[in-house]
Amino acid sequence: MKAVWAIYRANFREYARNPAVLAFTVIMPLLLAIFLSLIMGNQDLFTIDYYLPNMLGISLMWLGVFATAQPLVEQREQKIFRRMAVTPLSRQSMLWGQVLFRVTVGLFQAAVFLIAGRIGFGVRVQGSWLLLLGATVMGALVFVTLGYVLAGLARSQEAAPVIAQPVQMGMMFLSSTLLPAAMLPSGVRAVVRAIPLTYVADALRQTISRVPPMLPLWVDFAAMAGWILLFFVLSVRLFKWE
Amino acid sequence: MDSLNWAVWVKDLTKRYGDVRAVDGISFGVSRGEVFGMLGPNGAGKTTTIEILLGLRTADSGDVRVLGMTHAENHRTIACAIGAQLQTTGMYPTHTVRETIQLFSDFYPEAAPLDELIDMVGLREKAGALVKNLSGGQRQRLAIAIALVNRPHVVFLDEPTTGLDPQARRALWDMILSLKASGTTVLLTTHYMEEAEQLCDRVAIVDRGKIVDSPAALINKHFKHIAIEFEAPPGAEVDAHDLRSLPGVANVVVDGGKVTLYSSDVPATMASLLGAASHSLRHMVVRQATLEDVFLKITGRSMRQ
Repeated sequence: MKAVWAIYRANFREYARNPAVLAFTVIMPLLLAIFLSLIMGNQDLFTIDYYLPNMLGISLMWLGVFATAQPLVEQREQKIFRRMAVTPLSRQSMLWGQVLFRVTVGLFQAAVFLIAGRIGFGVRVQGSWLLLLGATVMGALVFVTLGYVLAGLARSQEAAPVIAQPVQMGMMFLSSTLLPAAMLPSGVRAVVRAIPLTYVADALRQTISRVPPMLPLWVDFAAMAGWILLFFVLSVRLFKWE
Repeated sequence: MDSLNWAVWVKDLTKRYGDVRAVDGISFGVSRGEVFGMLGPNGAGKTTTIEILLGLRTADSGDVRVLGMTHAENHRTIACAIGAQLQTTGMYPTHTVRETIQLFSDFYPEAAPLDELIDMVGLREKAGALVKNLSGGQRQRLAIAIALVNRPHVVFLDEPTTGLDPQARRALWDMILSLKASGTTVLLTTHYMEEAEQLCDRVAIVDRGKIVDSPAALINKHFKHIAIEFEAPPGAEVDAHDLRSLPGVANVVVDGGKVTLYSSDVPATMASLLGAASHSLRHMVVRQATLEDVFLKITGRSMRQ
């Protein structure tokens, strides 16, 4: 237990002291939410109520890319996991510490978004706080597990962005987070349903601002659970500590 | 003694990567409280052997025991009783020295006091500095501190001084010697003969996955001689037999035009050498014998660096 906590704190330190990662996981998506709602805000649908939860979803995705996949590949190349393998620290403790840290970052992101939305735009949580908490944790887990899959696919630090960028760009544009799915051509619309971010964002929209739902909330939760399971199984097969 | 009484026991160890025999039947034992050196060029199989001893890799065959235990059965117990410094230090770059030591201390059921470790490796003034801002020598000292957090019985050091300046190297030697004084068993690898001479009770020379000469009085056996090097003039015939008969000469190595005499009596050898052929000796150097010489002598070829 002491070791899990030690890993948790160590990851937090590395995160908090790395301004680039902090910018990608919190500041950038928040600014995007504000800019997009200001630019498009004169149309009924594209208000801060739409963009705040969506960008929280994107920030959780960037948690998976910039605060999970990328540092995992870096730390693997720095032989940090290898060094720890010489100590009595077990792989399970290491994994628990890392995942708990990343879920905490997800909660931190949600808190920043909600506070900024409240202060700047008077956004109040419309749905249940408990469901919002659940959607945030599940959403974070979807992308954290995806991060381990991506880190498993990327064999080197140079390869990490090559693999991660198309994934995250594709999700951003095809998940109805920038534009509602209804605006996309019908051929593309089918793809929207195949993207994890779609369900995370829809769950967050429904719990934060009650924007008309795309799917029933339980479908979003079931889909997130499915993605977590799939990515977990894939990461067990693909991710290597060394 | 059987395998249980040794701090480290390796018998007929083999490990191959594809077609390469990285370790090809190595056997040795390190007794408790001893400083044991594995000496050899890069790629000789030293690191692979250490990694197997640490449980980072599994052997293809052979018996490997640390404190009488095997990693297959007692990995955690071994991990609690040993310390290691790997070639890549493996630390978080934006942790301070103090935080790094604390982190590793937390992995063990019991750990030495933080300040004691910081003082032991002389990093008191750098305790608050980030790992990424440390010099190579400081980082290496931190790696040693991490290797000692659990007050280990056996410490493995893989090329602890490679890449360090002479001053930093001295500081590290002192640290290893004080470890030895405290009764800790140390197994280290190096490719510096001088280092092995300074630190080790016994040395095994490793090349191409095999121990080519092992322990006992290895250093004395090979290093009581001084090397006299010179170049023969182009086209001149060098007769190794004649050279060997010069007073004091114990061994002669002719490598192209380059001649190396190993002498136990330098003045006598020099006198007769200069008397016989002073005009034809070029680039003459008199120096202490090195690992390179031991290599030439034992394997008959240069060390591949």
